[in-house]
Parts: sequence; structure tokens; C-alpha cells
Amino acid sequence: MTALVELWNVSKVIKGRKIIDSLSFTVKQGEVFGFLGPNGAGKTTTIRMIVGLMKLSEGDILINGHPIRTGFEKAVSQVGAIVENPEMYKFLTGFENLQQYARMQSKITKEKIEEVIKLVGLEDRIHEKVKTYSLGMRQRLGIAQALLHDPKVLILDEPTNGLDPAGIKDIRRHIRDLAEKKGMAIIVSSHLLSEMEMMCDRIGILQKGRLTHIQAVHESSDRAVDRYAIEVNYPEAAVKKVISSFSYVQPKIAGSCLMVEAEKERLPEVISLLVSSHIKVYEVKKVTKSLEERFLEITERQEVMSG
Amino acid sequence: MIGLIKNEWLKLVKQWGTRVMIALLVLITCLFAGLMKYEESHQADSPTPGWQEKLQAENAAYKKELTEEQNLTEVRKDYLEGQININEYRLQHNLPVDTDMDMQSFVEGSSDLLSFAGLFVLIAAAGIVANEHTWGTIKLLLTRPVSRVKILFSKYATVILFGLFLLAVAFTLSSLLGLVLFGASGSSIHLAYENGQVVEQSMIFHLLKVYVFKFVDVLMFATLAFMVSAVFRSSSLAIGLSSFLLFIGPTVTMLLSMRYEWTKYLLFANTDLLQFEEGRTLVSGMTMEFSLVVLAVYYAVFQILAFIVFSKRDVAA
Repeated sequence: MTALVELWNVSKVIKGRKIIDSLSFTVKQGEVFGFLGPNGAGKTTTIRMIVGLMKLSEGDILINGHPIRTGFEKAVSQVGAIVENPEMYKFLTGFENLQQYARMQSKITKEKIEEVIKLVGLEDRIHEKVKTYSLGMRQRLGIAQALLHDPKVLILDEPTNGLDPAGIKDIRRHIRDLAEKKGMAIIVSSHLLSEMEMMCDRIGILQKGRLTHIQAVHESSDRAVDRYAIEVNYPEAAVKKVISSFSYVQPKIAGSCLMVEAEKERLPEVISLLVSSHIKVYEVKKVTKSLEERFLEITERQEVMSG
Repeated sequence: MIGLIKNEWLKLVKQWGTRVMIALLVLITCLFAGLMKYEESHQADSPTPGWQEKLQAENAAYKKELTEEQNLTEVRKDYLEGQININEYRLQHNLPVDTDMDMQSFVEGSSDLLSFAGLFVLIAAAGIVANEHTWGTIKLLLTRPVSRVKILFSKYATVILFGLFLLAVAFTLSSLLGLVLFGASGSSIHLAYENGQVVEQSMIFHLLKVYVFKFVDVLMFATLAFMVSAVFRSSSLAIGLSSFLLFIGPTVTMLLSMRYEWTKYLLFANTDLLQFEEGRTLVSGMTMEFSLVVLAVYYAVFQILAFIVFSKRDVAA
């Protein structure tokens, strides 16, 4: 897999303040990269630098090998983007809007325009003025404009902002499709973790202009130790029993459950110990840590360190 | 490049406001024509008897001014001499002054309506960059593989095209109205005084000259508005500032010019190129060449400012 977007030590200084501090990461072909961080962390600034709306103070950004500093036109011709809301010319029709962008690039045929309209499902309303469109339709027109020139890289800033659940699901499906079927590299930003978890392959966490963590969304399944919740009638007694025999599973109480961290093979031993101690076992289930928990773990650790 | 200009043109003319402006220009020209027709019907027939005496009296007054006035400017002196010679030429060749309204004089008179066209071009220029920022569409416009210089140039070219379009509309419409309402009967010769000689010029040539000179005026203010629009990203500031200057500038400059000679370097002292034709320069010593140089300097400053700021800017929300 080739890296389509590469950031090398990118920094941005505005009025003497370092908004972005030596950011480096790469996004590969066919990958959806989530850009996560609280508001004001610098997500939008970074995205604006990638699409050429803002100049870099230091470092460089390469799009499919073309540096944005010296080869702006070549680099940007590989990028389709929606930065914040997809603002369109409201007094033009959806079709006329797309024609505007088609004229700005060579080799975009009428057939290509029809194709992207079909892809985002706007055939019925494309010849109506954009001011009559709902936000969801504008978002879809925004995606159509971003895909018009068959870019290798797609950048979506807060793509689900203000959309209803159906619209969000729609966008998510489009994003996964484009990455998997067309092999595009996609960068998505959001401050909603649950949202990102559902569409990204990797997530980079941005805090105060620094990339503090990059994490794969799906934990590898062959991980040795898992967490299990065992529902029992006497959790306190169960904890004591388990500590005395298997302290390394780190038993803890959570409500009516006993939480243990153990390899799969150890689990029957723990259960038989409980049963032989006359503790009733109602349910055993594997707990996968949600991304949310991991995110909070990371950010809390950061705060402890800085505080 | 053609595609970019086409884009800008479509965006401009598909706006409701632009269509209103075009309609207003047409309406104003028609109203003016109606008013002129009404005036004409209340006027005595001509040629006025005794036009020779009138011209002789005029010449006597000019000669008196020429000999008795102490501080005549060069341009005024030239103008007076020219007028005297033209009047004498008329007397010699029996060419009465045509006071009758005809197509040519109507077109010349309605050139004053170009101030409206100027105002409209100014409004279009003020919005063409700033609106993209207001609408948020600047983000989609600048993330295309087209350099910012090209985008700004296509916008400026569109402003000029719009100006020429309004000028063409005004010229064609007033010619047609003039032809229909007043007829093409009048003299088609314009007398001019060039290099110490009276020459007969075709009326069309004269009218085109008047329109072109007025267009220079329009162009300067449109460029000013365009620069403010590109630099400050606010169409209301651009419209407000440049129309304020358009209306107040010439008056203030005239007041100042009575005391200070440096006013001749101000933009407003130079935008009216007809002042040299009509012998009423603001500050003595000004010539057409001088004004053209001053205008070129202002023009270059406006353009350089607009292009530098626009291509270096970080586009934030």
C-alpha cells in the first residue's frame, strides 16, 4: 500500500502562537484516517493546510508524492475536499454548481458529472436551485463536487455535522465504499469518537496542536489477554477467593459482576474455583474496551502528566 | 482561463441583484429619453434666428477673458482659443449651432447616465471577491488546481467585461432611442480644435471618445472597489468606501485644489479626462499625459495590493 498523504513536521504559527506543532503522519491507499480532538485542537487548521487554503509555517505535505509548497497545482489536483460545511452557490442549480468545478479542471466530461450525481443519488433534484436543498442534500452535493475529478485523496472536515441519523449513515456508507472499492485515502475529522469508530481504520488524536496518539480502531483479535465480566451472587466473596488463587487476573468488583483479565484458557479454572466455593455463576461475557474508554484513558493520562 | 471567466460571468449574471441593475440602467435611459422628448416638444423651432449674433457675442466675451484675466491656466487658454476659432469657422462656413435634439446630441447627453453604470460596476466589483468569503464558497474555489493569481485575474476580467457590457447596453439603447424619438437629422459633424486648426470630426468618433473617457472613470473606481473587496473581504466596506469616495472625492478635491497644488496627485483630480477637452482643469499645469501617468500609478498600486494580499492569504473561517 502506498502512502498517498504524508505530513512531515508540519507546523503552523499564527501571530506568534504555535497552533500546530510538528505534525507527522501518513495515510495509505484504501485507508480511512480519523482525525480526532477537542474543538480548538487544530483539526481544521491541519486540514486547511492539506488542501492549500493555509500556508505552512514549517515542514511539508506530500500528496501522492507532490509537495504542496512547490507543486500546489499537481498536489491539489489529487485531492477532493469538503472543509466544514459544503457551501455552494445557492442561486445556481446543483448541476450548475458542479459545472463550475468541472470547468476549473481539464478532462471532466458531462458523463462524469452525471456519474457522480448518480453516485450520491441526487438525480431527481439536481436541476433545482441549491437554496431549496436540505442540509443532507447539500452534503451529498458536496461529496459529488469532491469526487468530480477522481481524486486519490478525499478530505472531509466534520462530515456528519448537523445531519440526521439517516444522513449520517448514508455518509458513513459512502466513505467506507470509496476507501474499499476505489482505494482512496480518506481523512475524516470529528470531535465525536463514536462516529469515528464506525468509519475509520486508524485514528489520530490531536491535542493542543500535537498528535498525541495514533491508534488502530479494531484491536487485534489474537490478543492474549481479554477482560471478562462474571455475574455472581456474592461478588465480594468471589473476589477474595480469586485473589487467593489467581491474583494475576486482577479481579475487581463492578456492580454484581466480578471483572477479571485473563487468557481464554485460564477462564474455566476461574469458573470452577467459583463453583467449588459455592458461588453461583449466572453469566460470563467478554468485554471489549470501547474506543471511547481508550480515548479517555489516553487523554486522562495526558492530563495527569501535564498536571 | 476562458472557463474561469465563464464561471465568474455566470455567477455574476445569475444573481438577482445583477439583473436588477441591468434593468435599472435600461429603465433610467428610457426615462431620460422620455424627459428629453417632453422638453423638446416645449421648445421653439430652430435654427434660432440670429445665431450669428449670438456666436459673435460669445466670441467677444471669450476674447475679453483671454486678454483681461491674469491667472488663466494653459488649458483654459487653449480652450478659449479653440472655441473662438470654432465659432469663427461656423460663421465662415454657415454652420449654425445645432440646438435641436437629435440622435447624436441625445447619445452625448445620456453619457451622463454612465454614472449609474459606473455605480453598478462598482457594486459588482465590490462583491466579486468578498461574496465568495461571505458565502463560504471561497474554500471550494481555492482548493482547485488553479493558482490564486489566475482566479483573481478571471474575477477582475469579469468586472471589466461587465463594465463594457453595461457601456454597450447604454450606448446601443440611447442610440436606438435617439434614432426613434429624435431622428438622425442633425449635423453629423463635430468641430474640434487641434494643433491650432479647426477640424471636422465625425460625430460617432466624438461620441465614442466621450464614452471611452467616461469608462476610464468607471474603471478606476471599479478597480478601487475590487481592491478593497479582495483585501478586506467585505463587500459592504468595498461598496461603502468606494461609493463614498466616488461621490465625495471630487468635491473635496475641488475645494482643496483652490488652496493646495498637491491635490493634482489625488486620484479624483485625474479621473475625469474630459476636463482637458472642456478646458476646466482642476489645478493649473495639469495635462492629459500627467493625468494618465497618475491614473496608471494608482491602478498599479490597487492591482498589486489586491493580488499580493489575495494570493498570500490564509483562508480561515
